[in-house]
Amino acid sequence: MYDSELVDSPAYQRIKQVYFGRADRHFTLKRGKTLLEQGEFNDKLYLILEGVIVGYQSIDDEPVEIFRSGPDMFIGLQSFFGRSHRSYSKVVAETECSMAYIELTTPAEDEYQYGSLIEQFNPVIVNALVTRQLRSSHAALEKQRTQKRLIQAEKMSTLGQLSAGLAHELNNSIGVLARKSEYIGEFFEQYLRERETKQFAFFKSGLTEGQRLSSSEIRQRTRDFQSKLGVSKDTAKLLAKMASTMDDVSVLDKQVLKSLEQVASFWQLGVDFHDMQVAAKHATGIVKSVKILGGGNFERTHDVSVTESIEQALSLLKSNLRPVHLDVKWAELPLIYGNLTELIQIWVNIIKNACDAMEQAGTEAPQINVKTRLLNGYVAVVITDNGPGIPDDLKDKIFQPNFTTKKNGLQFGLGLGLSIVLRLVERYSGRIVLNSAPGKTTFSVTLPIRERDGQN
Amino acid sequence: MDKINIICVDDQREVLDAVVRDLEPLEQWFNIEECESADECLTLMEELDDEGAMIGLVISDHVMPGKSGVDMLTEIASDSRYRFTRKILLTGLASHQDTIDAINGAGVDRYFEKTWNPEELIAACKGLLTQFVLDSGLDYQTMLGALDVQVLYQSGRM
Repeated sequence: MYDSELVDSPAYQRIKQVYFGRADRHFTLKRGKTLLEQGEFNDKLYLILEGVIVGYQSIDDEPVEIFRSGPDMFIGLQSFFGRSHRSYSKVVAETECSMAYIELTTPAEDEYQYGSLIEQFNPVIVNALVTRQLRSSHAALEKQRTQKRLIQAEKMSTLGQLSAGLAHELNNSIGVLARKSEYIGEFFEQYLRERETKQFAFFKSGLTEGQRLSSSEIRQRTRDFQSKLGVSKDTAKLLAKMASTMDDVSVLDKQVLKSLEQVASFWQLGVDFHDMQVAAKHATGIVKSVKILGGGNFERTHDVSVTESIEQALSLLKSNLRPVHLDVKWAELPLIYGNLTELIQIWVNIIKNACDAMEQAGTEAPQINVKTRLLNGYVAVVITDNGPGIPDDLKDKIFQPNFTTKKNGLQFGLGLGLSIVLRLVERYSGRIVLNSAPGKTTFSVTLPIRERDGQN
Repeated sequence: MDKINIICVDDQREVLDAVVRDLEPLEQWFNIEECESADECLTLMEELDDEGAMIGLVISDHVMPGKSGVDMLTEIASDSRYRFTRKILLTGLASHQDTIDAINGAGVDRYFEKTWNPEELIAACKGLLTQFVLDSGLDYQTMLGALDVQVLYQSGRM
């Protein structure tokens, strides 16, 4: 807080010149030197000509900064003009300071024209009062903000601990289900391989492929089989489903048609095991993400590495990124004010979204580029993919909660992914910009190195 | 008389398969169709209607890529061809507002949460299909095994 509205006023300029212009009342204060101790007797009024002076009050034996003054600001106004003549704070030079002063005994200059010393200093005193008023209301506001953030952080960390515990428990149960269904599947496979070759082929095909054709394709093939083979609709549907993983010749074999019900139930059994394993894999993935994203602490510190947060996000998404060509260009970045888990959340959600979009669209040679850059006071992270792009009419919607275009079931984003990203980026007073066309979609996130409010 | 149709809609194939399997006991009397999206279901309904087939019941998930279940059921509700068609919403993720829309806009008859109880689902289907048969003025005598006796009784037919 270096601004003094007085600087341009003629009254101040006169005071500065008349009272603080004399070289015999100038001195230099070395960096770290104490000008006044808290409670010390003071009969001088100081003006800072150059440098920075900081005032501390000792609260519970802890020095707490209560003001910070620069050139053209006064020190000791209260003890000089007040009655106590005691300094209410410890005053220390933060940098080497060039100072000027007057004493209680200094006589008023041109009293006849400008009035007594106090009258002459009136504008200075009023300005100091206003500044202090502003300073204290600013502090109150900052305190309220900090409190809010603390409550939020507390909530998040309780939620995080809860979900981490929950995730751990679920992980164990899902693990058991996944393993046991695999065992039973393997047992059946072995059993059938040795005894029932024909059923084995159907079971195996259901197990490895699941049902591959879409419901509308099945409907079409059901009609075909119905008219070609003259079988009932139910039979034709069964055949169509099985034919989705096996070639027509083996499905339409006369022997098979004769004992259709029987082989079909083995095919279905195979599909059931397949589905169980797909479901278990989904669940495991969700639980893993909840554990990592929910379990962190949400306190912000000044030493968070954006680079590390991206690295962690990329390693979290290893399995998603396996088919993707990844290209990362790092810039040397300063540490920022923030929270590692929150930053990881931002990148995970954007990158995961890109992976899903490309997988769903069947993008050939899928590629993701991550680039970091240092701008003036900001860190920029640009994430580009060569997926299908986001249609114009969806560009606004994708940041809304519960919006999803994902086909492969509800994955861990639950349609919340990008809404979380937007919320987090906004909480950092950052910006997110989306540019998208088929073959190139770019999310640019800029985060301030220091939070705009409160910090410097 | 052609079998009355039941259409199940869910974008997740494994879930769709599970619903259809649970409804197997009804296959003797009803034709069960599977759809993986709302648009596929609406197209299928057009086709079935063109063929003169009847659609007794639609069971749909809500959160799906493309059109949502509630939006689709709302469209069905405002189409006079399907005025007797009964509707079940079967979902694991619907907000408070979605639920309000489902009741006020789509006139959903039953709401099931995933994971569902198969017996309850079948019982609900039977009850709703019985109402469909009665509303449509169909001969219910041949389908007695599939219908809900309680509903028939309350209607004064038994």
